[in-house]
Amino acid sequence: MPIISVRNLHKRYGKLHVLRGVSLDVEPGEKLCVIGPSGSGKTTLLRCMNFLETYDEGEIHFEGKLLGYRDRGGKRVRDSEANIARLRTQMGMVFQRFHLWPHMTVLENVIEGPVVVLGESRKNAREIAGALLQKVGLGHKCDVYPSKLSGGQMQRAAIARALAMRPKAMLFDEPTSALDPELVGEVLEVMKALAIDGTTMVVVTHEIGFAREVADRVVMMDEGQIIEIGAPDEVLQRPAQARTRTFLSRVLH
Amino acid sequence: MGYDWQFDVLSEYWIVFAQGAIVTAQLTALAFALALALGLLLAFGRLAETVLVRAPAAVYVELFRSTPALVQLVWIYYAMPILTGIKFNSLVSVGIGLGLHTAAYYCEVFRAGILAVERGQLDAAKAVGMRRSQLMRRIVLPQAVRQMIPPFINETASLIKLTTLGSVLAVNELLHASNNLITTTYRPLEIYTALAIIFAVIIYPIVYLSRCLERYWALRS
Repeated sequence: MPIISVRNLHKRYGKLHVLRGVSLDVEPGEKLCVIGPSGSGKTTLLRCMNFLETYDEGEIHFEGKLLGYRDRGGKRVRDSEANIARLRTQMGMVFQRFHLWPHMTVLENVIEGPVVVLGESRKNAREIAGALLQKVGLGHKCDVYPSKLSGGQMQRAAIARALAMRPKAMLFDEPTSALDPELVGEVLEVMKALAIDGTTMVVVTHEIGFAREVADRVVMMDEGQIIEIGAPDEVLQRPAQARTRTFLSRVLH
Repeated sequence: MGYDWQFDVLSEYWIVFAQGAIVTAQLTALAFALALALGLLLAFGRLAETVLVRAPAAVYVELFRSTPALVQLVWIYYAMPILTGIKFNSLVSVGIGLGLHTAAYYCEVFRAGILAVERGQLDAAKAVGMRRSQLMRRIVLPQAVRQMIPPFINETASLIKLTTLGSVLAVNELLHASNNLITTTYRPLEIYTALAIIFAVIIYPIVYLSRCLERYWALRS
């Protein structure tokens, strides 16, 4: 059974039809990279997957459970806050602009979710967080405030924060787009290590090299639709669609 | 200008100032407590999703911000008893009036502070599964408070100074006590000068404290 299943998803901002019938399955352990020009709806799709954006039509199921809505007398209504929050704890999200909490140290950022949301003991959470920060190469930055970190360090801390919830899937929203070029590599290294560990990952990215190396499947989106989906050496090397070829030639040069 | 300052009037009647200061403190405490509680309620009201809560809160704030505090006090003391039958003594009337008045300004301070927190901060909190109450308490308010402190201190200093309006309703706060003293001693220059200094001595430490807090937080983020 797919871990995330998207069926005929539609999303509108007023008159702007951002997602026009997207369907997609993410299998457990799968690494999925979503590429496409800006405005193609890939970030919106990712944000719908943990209900940071509501959707207007279609369905998203997480492990078979409908995400964000429930049925009331044949009508679809927004699910309870508790249910939505519970589903979100099972997905980790990494943002383009990190969004670390500036009033907490790096370690406090990482233990916040486990302690406040999962009710873990601080001691336990600290140990796990320490190990995670070690893993992303920030073991020496535990007691530092985010403003003292470089962009690459902030993003690695944000990845550790998401991992601390022990999610069943990780969602990455252009995790390297806000970074200086020389800092991109260190973040991609951490993500590759996660991929090797077997983490289920959905990555919206412009890093074609990363997609080629890590992805099991690549999704190409344009104008709110998936126009091509398949193994990286198909979609990236021998794209069937002219729009994919145009897009790739633009990003690669 | 050969004015002959006679400051011994102050040492002779210091008890009048002390009593006035106590009444000023009572007015401030009453108004502050009311304004803080009501201001918070109004702020969350103005941020509510349903317009049924948002609209009345907005009307309240705009009404109180667009009418003079003195008119509000006079209205509560003279007009409200006629219309509603509810009558407070002049001290309580002024305390409530200034509390209602300041609540409107506090509300805007709180609201602006909450809205100043970046949306991404909320997304990150929701993404780890926080509920609205957790997100407010753990992520939004700690950051918002830092934004709120300077304007909050401003409004509080303003509230302390507004207590002098109580003199119009014969509440024996500092200004009224001073005016009374002048009618018996005929030393307005000394007394008004002392009054100004007393207010500065009360208010400056609060302003200073806010600056210390700002500096402390700047170091910790």
